[in-house]
Amino acid sequence: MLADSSVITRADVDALIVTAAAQVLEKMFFTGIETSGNEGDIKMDSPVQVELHFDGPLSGALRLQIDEQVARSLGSSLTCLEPDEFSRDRCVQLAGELANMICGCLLSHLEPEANLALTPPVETPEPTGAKTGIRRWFCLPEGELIIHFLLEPICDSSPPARVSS
Amino acid sequence: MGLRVLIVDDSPLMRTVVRRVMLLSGVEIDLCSEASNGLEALEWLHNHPVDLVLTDINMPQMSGADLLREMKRTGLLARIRTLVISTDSTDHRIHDMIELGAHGYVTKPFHPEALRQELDRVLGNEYAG
Repeated sequence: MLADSSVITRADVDALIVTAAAQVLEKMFFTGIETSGNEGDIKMDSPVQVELHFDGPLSGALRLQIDEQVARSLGSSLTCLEPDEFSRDRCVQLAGELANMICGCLLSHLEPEANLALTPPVETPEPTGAKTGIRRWFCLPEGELIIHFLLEPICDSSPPARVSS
Repeated sequence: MGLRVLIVDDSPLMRTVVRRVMLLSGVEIDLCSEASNGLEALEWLHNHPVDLVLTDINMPQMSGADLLREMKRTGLLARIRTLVISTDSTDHRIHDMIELGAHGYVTKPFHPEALRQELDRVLGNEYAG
């Protein structure tokens, strides 16, 4: 939780993305983050990308991109099914559930008391290279994962949050 | 006699995870069924005996909150234990679901052990393995 929730900086949100991802990966998938960063390009052979939106005192979206092979491996950890039992559809479900949990965890750190509505995650086309929002990649033992978080700034300075860069 | 369980979640993957944790929890289970939303769950509950419902909140057609409301209205809540499993960890949401009649609440992400402990609390010793 942030000490002063009246102003949320880009650096705060970025740090909370890492915290939320680490918590979800450790608790549900029994894995961890080896390295993480904002810069550079990650090449995926067969990417799966999902997106969900949230609305309320904070609004925005979280996109998650993961390679099918990594999704299979994480899915196997989550369900104890064999990785080759994970079809592409199941990989999309896995990506959606991962995005849902990371977004929920992140929002609970950002706005613990807020009533936020999350849309179900849906598969989206490959990233367009949008420059807005915060993009962070993660290296896990299983492979790479990218999170792109878009938080719409609340324009006035009233609580609960204002995003500054 | 073992427990008759209904898992309600629109994500087949999460239903698999919850089922797996249930089976590994040591709780004696006779039947573990699944529904993908509140409406499907209600249909099942009106036609089959169930002892425990584990439900998500955000689902299409009928949410977990509406499922609890309907279970309360039709008297099902009086004889079925309910445990909510959700990514929403806000105090007001947990409070709302408990007010609606949920007997327990687990926030995703969760350690399997955390779900097992909450199950123990909700069920008491009656079904302990």
